[in-house]
Parts: sequence; C-alpha cells; structure tokens
Amino acid sequence: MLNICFLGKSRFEWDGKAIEEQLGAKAFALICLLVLNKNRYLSRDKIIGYLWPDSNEEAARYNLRYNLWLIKKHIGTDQQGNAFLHIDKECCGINREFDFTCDILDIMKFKPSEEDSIDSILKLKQLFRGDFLEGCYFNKCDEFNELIIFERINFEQRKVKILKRLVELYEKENNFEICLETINEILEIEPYDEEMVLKVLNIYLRCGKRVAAITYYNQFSNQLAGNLGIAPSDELRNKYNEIRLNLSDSKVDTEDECTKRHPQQGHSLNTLGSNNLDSKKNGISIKIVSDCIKNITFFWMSDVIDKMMKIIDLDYIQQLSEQEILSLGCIQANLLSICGDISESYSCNASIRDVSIVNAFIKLLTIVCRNHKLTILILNSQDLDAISVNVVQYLKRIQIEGLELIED
Amino acid sequence: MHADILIKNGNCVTMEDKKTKDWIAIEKSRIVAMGNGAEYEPFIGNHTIVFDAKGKTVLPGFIDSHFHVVQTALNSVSLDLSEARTHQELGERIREAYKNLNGNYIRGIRIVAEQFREKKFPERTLLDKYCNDVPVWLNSLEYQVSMLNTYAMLYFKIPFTAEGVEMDEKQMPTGIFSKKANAILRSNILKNISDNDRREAISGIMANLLNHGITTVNAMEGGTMYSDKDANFIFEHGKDFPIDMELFYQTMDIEKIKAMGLKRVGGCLYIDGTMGARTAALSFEYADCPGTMGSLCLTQQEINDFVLKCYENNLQLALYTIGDRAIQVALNAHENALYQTGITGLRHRLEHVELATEAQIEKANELGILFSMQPTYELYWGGPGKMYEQRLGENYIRTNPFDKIIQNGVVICGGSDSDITEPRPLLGIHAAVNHPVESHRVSIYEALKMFTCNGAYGIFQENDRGTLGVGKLADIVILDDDIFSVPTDQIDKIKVCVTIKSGEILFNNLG
Repeated sequence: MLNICFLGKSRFEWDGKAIEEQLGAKAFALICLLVLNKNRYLSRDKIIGYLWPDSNEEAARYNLRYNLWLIKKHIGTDQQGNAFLHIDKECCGINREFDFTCDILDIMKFKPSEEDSIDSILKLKQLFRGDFLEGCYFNKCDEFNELIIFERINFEQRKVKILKRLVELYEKENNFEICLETINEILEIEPYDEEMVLKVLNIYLRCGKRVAAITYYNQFSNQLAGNLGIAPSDELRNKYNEIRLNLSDSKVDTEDECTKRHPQQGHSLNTLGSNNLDSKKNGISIKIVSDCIKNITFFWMSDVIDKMMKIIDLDYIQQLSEQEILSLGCIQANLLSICGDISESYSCNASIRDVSIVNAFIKLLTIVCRNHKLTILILNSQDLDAISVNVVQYLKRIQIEGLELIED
Repeated sequence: MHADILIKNGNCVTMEDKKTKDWIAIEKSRIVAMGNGAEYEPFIGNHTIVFDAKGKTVLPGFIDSHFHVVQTALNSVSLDLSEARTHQELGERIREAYKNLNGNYIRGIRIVAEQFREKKFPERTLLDKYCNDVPVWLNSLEYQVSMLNTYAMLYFKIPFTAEGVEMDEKQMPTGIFSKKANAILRSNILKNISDNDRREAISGIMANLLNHGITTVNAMEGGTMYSDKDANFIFEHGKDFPIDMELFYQTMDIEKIKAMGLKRVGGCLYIDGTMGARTAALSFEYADCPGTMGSLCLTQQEINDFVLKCYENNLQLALYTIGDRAIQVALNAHENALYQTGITGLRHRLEHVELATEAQIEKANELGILFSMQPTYELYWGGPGKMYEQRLGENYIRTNPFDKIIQNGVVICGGSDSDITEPRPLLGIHAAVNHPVESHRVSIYEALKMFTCNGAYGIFQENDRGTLGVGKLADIVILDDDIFSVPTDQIDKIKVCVTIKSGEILFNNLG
C-alpha cells in the first residue's frame, strides 16, 4: 500500500517502508505534480516545463524518463494489480484505479457539512504536519515554485477552515477547554484574528471566567499595540468593557435561556428567565449595554429602549399612555410591534414632537426604576447623537433614583 | 595613593556648574581626585598610565539617550540599499552581496519606494532575476513593508492568510508584505535569530561606539517592528558588553515590566508615525500632501488609561511623539494621570518631540516631562530644501526648537536614534549648535549637556555618571581638540581620541 504525505516534510511509504531517499527530490516533485492533477493526464512537455525548464530538450526528456523509471521501480502494483502511474508516449498521470492514500487528497475532499463529526475533522487536522512541500525549493523551476506557493496558500486556508469547523463542533458540545485550544491553533496562524479573540472572550464568559477573559483581552491588546501599534476593534473593546463592568450576564441569559413569543404579533421577544423575572420584581438590578451613533438622531435612546424591551416585563411599557408609546414607537419600531392594538392607530410620526419622545423615554426609565436598579453602560459615549447627549445630561441632573449611567 | 590612570593638562569640563579642572585621577572604576595646577603629582606611581591632554577638552563619557541596540547591530551586518536608484541597481547590489554571503539569507534594509526611478517596491519575480540561490528579505526604511524573493517565500514561514499579502492579477503573492502580514512575517523571521547572532552583531558595533566616546546607551528594544526577544536579550545579557545599556522595553504590558523588576517602560511606544511617511500627527495638513495630517495610533482615552497605569505603578514612561497633535495627547494623558494620582518625580519622557509648540513646551515643564531628542535629524532633514520643508512647508522652521525648550526649563536628553542617524554624539552636538534655524541654536555647553549630564538625569543616574566629580564613575572621553576653541561649524570634525569606561581604557588614539 502506498501512503504519501506532502504536508510537512514529504513522506513516501511503500508497504510500510520509507522510500524518500530512493526517490529523490525531483521524483517527489513529479509525483506531487501528478497528484495535484489527479483527474487528468499531463503532457510530457508540460511536466518538463515545470521541472526541467532550463535543460535542453533531450536532457529534459531523459530526466523525465529516468524519474518515471525510478518511481516505477520503487512503487509496485496495488492488491488489484494496478500500476501507480499511467504512462504513454505523450502523457503521464496517476492511474485512477490505483489504491493509495495521500494527505492532500483527503483534505481536498473536505467540505463543511452537517454530517461532520469531531472525529472526522480531527483526522483531517492531524494531516497538517507542516507546510505543503516544506523545505522544498527547486532552483530555476519558477513555475513549479509558484505552484508550491499557490498550494501553500490553498492548504493554509483549508487548515483554518477545518479548525474553524472544529471550533463550531466543540462549541456545540460545550466542550470549551478543547475549543479554546483549537482557537489558539487558529490564532497561531492568524494572531490578530479579532473574530477568534472575541470567541475566546465569549467562551470565558460562558464558563464564568471573567478574570481569564480580562487577562486574555489585555494580553491581546498589548500584543496588538506592541506589534502593530493599533488598538482592538470597537466590537472587541465593547465586549471587554461589558465583561469588565460585569454587564454581560443579562445578555447571556436572554440569548440562552428563554424566548417568549408574543401572542398578538408573533414577534420574538426575549426576556429574562422566569426566575430572573421574579427576582427582578423583587428589585433586582438590570444592566444594559447601549451603543451610540453620532449622526443618527435619537439612536442611543432607541438602542436603550430596544435592549430594555428584551429584559423588562411588558407591564412596564403598558404603564405608559397610548400617546407615549406612539412617541417612543417613532424611534423604536419594535415597541409598536409588541403593542398591536396601538400600532394600528399609528400612522405618521410627523405630528410627534421631540419633547414628547424625550418625556416618554424619561417616564419609561422612571417606571422601570421604581422596581429595579437600572444600570446603563453607554459604549462609545463620544458618539452620542445630539439629542441623546442632552437627555443623558438631563438624566444626570435629575438623578432618577435607581438609575445609573456609566459612560465608556 | 597612586592612581591607575591620570589625565593631566586637560580642559576637563565637569558639566557641573560650568566648572573646569586641569587633571583627573582614576583608581579602579572611579574618579578619586580632580584639581588644577600640578597637584596631581602625588598620584603618579610606577604603574600609573598618564595621558597628557595638552589643553584638549576632557568630558564625561557620552550618553546616547535613544539607541536601538539590536537593530543597529543587526543592520550593521545587513545590506544597505538606500543608495540604489533603480531596481536594476538594487538587484546588482543583491547579486554582489550573495558572493560574500555570511549566513543563510540576504537581509537588505533602508528601502523607500520613491528612491527608485520605478517609484515602487521591487517584487518577487524581479528579485529572482538577480538572486534565486538564497532567500532575500528586504526591509523598507521604517520596517513597515517586507519584500521577499521566491526562495524566501518558500524558506520562511509566510502568513498567507493575514491582511497585507499583496497579490498580482493571477492571485499570486507579489512578494510584498505590509500591515499584519508584515508584522507576523517579521516576527517569524526575527524570532529565529539566535541570541548568539545577536551577541556577535552587538559585539561588532561596540568598537565604533567607543571610538565615538559613547559609554552609556538607552537601549530602546522590543515592540512594534522589532522583537521582544531583542529586549529580553538586552535584559539578560546587556551587562556582558563594555558599554552600559539602560533598557527601555517598548511594550504596553505593564505586568511584564513589573515581573521583570524594571523601573521604566517605553521608548518607541508609538503615539503617531513619522514625518517621512507623513504619518506623524500634525495639527495642520502636510504641505506635500494636502488633506493629510497624519494619524494617532491610539485614542486619547487609550493613552490616558496606559499613562495612568504607569503612574500608578511608579514606572518612568517614554512615549514616542513626533507631531504636535501627538505631543498634545501625550501631555493631556500625563496631566490627567498626574491629577488622578498626585504622583510626580518619575521623570517621564517624550521621545523625538520634533514639533512641540511653545504652549506644549511650557506644559511639559510644568509636568516635569523631559524631551529625548535627536539633533542630528536637523542635519539630515532640517533647513531649506530638505525633508522637513517638503513635508511641512514654511512650518519647517518650527522643528526641534532646542533653545526655546531649554529656555522654558525642559531638560533635553540627546540621542542618535541609531541607526536612523549615526551614533556620533559629536555630530549631534554639532547639529544642535548649528541648527539651520538660527533662533533654535544652542551654546556648545548646552549641547554637551544633552549628551552628558542631561542624559544621566534622564535615567536617574546623575549621582553616578554624566558629570566629572570625585566618587563618580570614571566614564571619560578626551577629544582631539578643545571644543570651545574651534569654529562652531567645525565641531563635527573633532574626534574622540580616548574613551575610558568605568576606569578601563577601551579606546586610545592618543598614544
């Protein structure tokens, strides 16, 4: 049985015995070329163009013949009696009937699918023992060297894809420890992949390891500043701030624990789990992480309403008058969609003045704060829109009991 | 008591209150006596080495306050390609270098796209034409771009999937790497440089530094575009070399600094970029690129947070600032940290500080911040027709206003930023005295202070070095002329003829 590995230091085994030394570098390269073109035969001229471009025609043809002979000499027939290579006067190729294993062929077959199992992906992962044709450079064989570079890119991308699939599967199984190890393998290839770093933070958070998450972020941030002179993305920084200020619990709860469907609109409304809701009624804290966009009027207020709706009891909203709900509906349409009856009477917001929106917003906060301590973290507060800036200032002035605003 | 070394008949400028002495007696590593006239005679014994300075200037050993030791050393064994004017010329130089190759690959440095007639960086296939037998790795002037030949693409570990791999129309890499790809590639290559190679390269530059009278350097190591292994090497092995190295670890990892027991952090911790690349953060547009004002590497909040952490941990901090906008955010951060902690006296520094305004200078003085500056920049880039004028237009007259800074009470530590400029303190002194803008010029004495006592003050070493005094470390240089007597425009012609480091004569051209 023939077993070929092109990733890492090239390996050829025939019936369990290494035959690299017998074959030599050019024979490796020739086999590699034929394997990469497994489904077609290559003309002798084409092969010579890759591997002996600087030789005269006679020498090049001789070299090719010699290497084909060398391969035939050391690689026999399979159990069905098939020869490894198909060779004729014009072309050469791998005999499609020949039974052998090859790492890159296995990897090339991979396409992420629902049927993937951890075991099957792990088997693929283990095939990545190093770079494609590691340590190889063929002087003056420009085209072949380019082919190696091209395939290195190709297999590096495939490796990342396979590792990412593995991360998904581990995450699905809540196998966080090994999931983190796999992410770190991706980060070894792409040390500044912020998507992966965000995943690490989320995993730490899900495991309740806030300190580890903060430490990890700090290390990454130092690395980014030290090596690239840049800061982490807003998304990553916001996540870090959430973790640091312990504002993520409610978010995690809402995503993972409970989804309640509103009967009238069929709208998906996330709330806290029932236990949390009960305890909230007993005055538990609510924490909201809000964001800002400078030039979008009312954006911050709209964001706060949206996030609150996912946490608070609908009763609080229903304590607002119809007019107040309509006013808030002008800046946060989701509010109207959960108040079906009212939304039917909603036609145009032209007649609703800014002052009505602001008043309704403050009233909603006041209602919520009667039963809860409400903390709102304002991320990117330098980007607060013009009206929200004034509202924040006003809220700080009037000091609603139970309301805390934290600006990042 | 007989001295080991005696220097007589010198104009020994102590750099303390402008006092001078005629002679200095040294025993072991320290100065044991100084005086005037012939009082030195009792110090001369059979084994005393006597230098007759014949009226020449004798000074404390020079301190270079901003020096990339490992980078300078590695570059000294690299191929300088700054003079190549075409891709062909560059290729020929690489071809020549291959003939004398000592090592596994060719490392070329100091390339800018504009230096070539082709106005672009050379690609892989072009490099292959001149050298395809060994890997070739070329670095842009500021290390932001790497170029590889095909051999190097297969030899080094390439971050193919990272941002910054330039591709041609066939989606093949051109061999030019920037951004994250360049940072990863550099890290992959530099981490494989062995400490032995570092040691050999650093040993190789020691003689040159001693010939120029340098006895102490502030070693700016690690971090962006460098390698933390460089900083770790200096931390562990800096004491093995004849010149003292004060490590400035260029990292924002305070925990690491604390764990290593270091008292300072920073160096080239970038707040902005460079004038050359038009990335230094200015408060006005670049004259040769309207609409561009440079940029800050970190936000004010991020800088505030970091600076505050340094204050809270009692760490001396050195921040890289070039443009006035960067200088302002750095000063803001210091002011904020000072108010929040009330901590003063850490002698924080701003490095380079090429474009400080008068208000910023006053604020720095108020905050007790030192400026670590490179006068030789003015020689290279200052004055009409040179780089500062190209980039800044008429604002070029604002660069490096040494006299204004000193008059406002800010201490200037002088450095070379080697190997951006030559590690020659006397050249730096010449440049400060002969600033192209007359109002920014300083006296010879003030210029000497930058490279002696001010340098010592910048690293809390003023009780030990930077001045000549009894009990002080015997770090001493003898010049081949009296610096106060030569015409000021001839200072750069003066040479060091003796360098004594901790009582050891390490360079002697006096006979």
